[in-house]
Amino acid sequence: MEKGYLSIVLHAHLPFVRHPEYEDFLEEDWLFEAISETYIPLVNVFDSLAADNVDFRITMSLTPTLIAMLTDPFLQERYLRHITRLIQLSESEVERTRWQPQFHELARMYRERFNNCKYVFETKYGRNLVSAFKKFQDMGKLEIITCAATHGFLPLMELNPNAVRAQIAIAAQNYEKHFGRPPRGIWLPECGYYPGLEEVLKQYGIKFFFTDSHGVLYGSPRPKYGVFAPIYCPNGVAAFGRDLESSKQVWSAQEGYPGDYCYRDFYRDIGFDLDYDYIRPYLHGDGTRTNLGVKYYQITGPTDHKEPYVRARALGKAAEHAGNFMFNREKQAEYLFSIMDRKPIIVSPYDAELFGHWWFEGPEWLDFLFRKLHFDQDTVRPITPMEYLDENPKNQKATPSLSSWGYKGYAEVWLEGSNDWVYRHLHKAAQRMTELARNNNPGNPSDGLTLRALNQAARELLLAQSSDWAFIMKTGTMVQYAVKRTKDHVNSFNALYGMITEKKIDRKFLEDLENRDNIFPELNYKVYA
Amino acid sequence: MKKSDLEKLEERELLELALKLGIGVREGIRKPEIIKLLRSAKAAPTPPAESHAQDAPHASSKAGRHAEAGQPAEAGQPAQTIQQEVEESKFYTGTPPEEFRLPSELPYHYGDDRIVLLVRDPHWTYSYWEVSQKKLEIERGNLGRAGDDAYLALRVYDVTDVRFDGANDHGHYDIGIYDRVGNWYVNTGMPGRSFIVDLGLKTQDGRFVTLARSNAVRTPRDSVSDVLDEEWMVPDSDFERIFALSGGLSTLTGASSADVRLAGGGKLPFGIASPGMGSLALMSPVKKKQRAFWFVLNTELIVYGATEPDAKVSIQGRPVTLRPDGTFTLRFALPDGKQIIECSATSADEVETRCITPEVSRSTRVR
Repeated sequence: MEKGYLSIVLHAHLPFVRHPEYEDFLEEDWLFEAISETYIPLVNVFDSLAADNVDFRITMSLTPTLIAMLTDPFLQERYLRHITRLIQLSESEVERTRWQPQFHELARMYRERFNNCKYVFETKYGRNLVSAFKKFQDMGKLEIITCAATHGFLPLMELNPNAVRAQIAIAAQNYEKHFGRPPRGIWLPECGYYPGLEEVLKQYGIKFFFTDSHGVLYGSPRPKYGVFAPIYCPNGVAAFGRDLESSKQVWSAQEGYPGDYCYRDFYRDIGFDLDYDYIRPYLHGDGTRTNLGVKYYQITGPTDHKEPYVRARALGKAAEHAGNFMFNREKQAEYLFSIMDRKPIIVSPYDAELFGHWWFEGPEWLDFLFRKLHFDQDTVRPITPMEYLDENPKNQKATPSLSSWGYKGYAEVWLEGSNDWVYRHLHKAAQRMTELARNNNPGNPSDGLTLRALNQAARELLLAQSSDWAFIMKTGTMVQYAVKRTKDHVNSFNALYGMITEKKIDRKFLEDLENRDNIFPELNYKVYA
Repeated sequence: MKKSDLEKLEERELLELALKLGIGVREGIRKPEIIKLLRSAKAAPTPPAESHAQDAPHASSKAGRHAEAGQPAEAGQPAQTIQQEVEESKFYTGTPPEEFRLPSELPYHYGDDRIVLLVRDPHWTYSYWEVSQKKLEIERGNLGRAGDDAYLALRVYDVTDVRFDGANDHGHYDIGIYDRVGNWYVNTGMPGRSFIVDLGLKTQDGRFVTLARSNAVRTPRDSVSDVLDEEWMVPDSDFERIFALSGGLSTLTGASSADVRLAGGGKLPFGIASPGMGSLALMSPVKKKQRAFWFVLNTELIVYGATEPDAKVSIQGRPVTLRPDGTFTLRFALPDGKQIIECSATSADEVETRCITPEVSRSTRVR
């Protein structure tokens, strides 16, 4: 009989980046790289675990922006173009490395991987990876949870309750459209919680969410079990707190598994290493060198000299690390069980893109972990939060504390010198959106153009609210793009607001916006009323 | 126009002047920067007659107050934006565009009288505000002569657990501010308390007139709650252990530390194990800094040739795909050592075969 539970949570998210107005667009690579390096490898792991009857449990958020991109025919087409080019590149690489056995073997690995991506994406799942994840949800192995519609950081949106409600309402509606039932859980963007948010969650049937450790731990009244049991907010929605020890083992730059010297080095990429003329056809229009996703070296050590990657050795290390992680969870659960009068739950959330994209061997680590948990021990049982609540319905009532999982634990990442200027505009736009929603009833005005303008105004507001833009402004790479996206969406919103108020809608302008920012076609602006 | 004349103008008037001259200004630009821009633009005309110069309020006493009470909010965008905009405006011909074009800059303000307060963390809040020139003038007028040298200020009220009526706060303090449209980080230093901020005019004799009142916010606790639930009680020693474990400090490995005890204030070392990176940082992480000087060198060998388009060509036993005109090119990374490159072409009817076998060797010295 188990002594505790382990809940692995993966947060899969990318902001909405879609630019049909350009022949190709650098930032669209975020999606394509994540598909090839994270989403497809995860789907392959789930398929292989299921095929071997390993009873795994993973909770995974697929954000509405990510779902919108994964199900968008235009981006699906572009992904196929992208992966087809990579297959070509890997074929040249197999030839080019013929006289270097170590690299040759790796080139063949990449060729096989890219071909597999194309097969899984196009043939196996008919271009729709959301349906792939849904398959595992329907099998009861994966609990897919939602996230705020465009990943808006909610503690800084509290001022506009209607905008917060819209972020949740649209997310819930979008979830139901894709998964055939309402979402039971939510990943709050950046784990950003403020007291009272649970009221909105409950309104849309959401039963649980996550906070960083101090969100639960500093809850009031004082939570008896720390982060090792959920607490019920006063309205009955459950909050699960992040376990720091298991987080640190994976995340920590110093002690974390992904930094092991055997693992693949992220930075050494043939996009930078090889002769310019040779790789030029695979770069973007402006010809700037970028990562192409073919990487031949291992981390090796704190040195610029890198040794070639040895796949078998790296996989051995991933198995070893999975064993170490399991051992530590067993000890943790045993000890907690001895001092608690119930079975502890250890909640370990990670960004999904950590696995595969950043930590190349991450998906295999997950694969090993769930196999070991299934076959090698009985102390810790993988579980989803919903299953936990079904088995342990009695939990302490307490209100979590305002918190996020960003640096220093509160709002500072998204509210500091580089990005604080956005809130004046976001708040005003949200206020204006509610004004528009209240002053305009469907059918009155009767013309379809105004209705479309109202819905598009809501889309522009939502896209401006993505926490990603403020995050990029702070972290300092690709800042120009984030600033431009913020300004464009706010200005587009303000322009539509003016046009609707003055009853003079520029059809061409509206259509251009509809074609580019085509997220949430089902959206009804009345959600802001 | 002289610098001293420009300094007499209000920020709003400077902005209008800049707009008239076609000088682009970025969001959140401050008065000294506008003046710099205006002075660098050639042939600045005199300001319109109706603009009435007012004394900039109390610049000297402000610095001290700012230093105590908060830190200035930095301007949002990189500095080169100004230069870019000036460059762009040089080519602005003044003819309105035919179709609707999106502005490249955000509105400077929205014509509201408004102040908003946001929570940054247990110790800091952030406020932004705007008040219309008109409102400001009316309120100055209402103050009579005292209005002439009244200055803008923020009044920070502690309104914890009260329904604030403007007078029943637990205490308040003022921060002198500069701009009609601006923002400020307010160091309240008090976790778990509620605050409201008024934007107002403060007279030299200490009277305060509210121009706009903010929403109320509550800063989060930065320690465990003192409130206990009888049904879920646990001995302090047990909670301490749970607490230490919740903080990721494993007593199993003996890594527990005295300063995570409740007695130490109940603080957790958050941030240590925070991801510190979102999925976006993962998508395009910043490249590690390389050492100052470096040099790499690699060699590749290009093998190319031509034959009849329908011939079969192989190199080192592996088939080669020909272009429609019968030419082909292969490219190999060339390591140290000797390569014997057997190439053969066979005619389509398999009657004729030619072999060409170059030998290439590379040896490298490094010093």
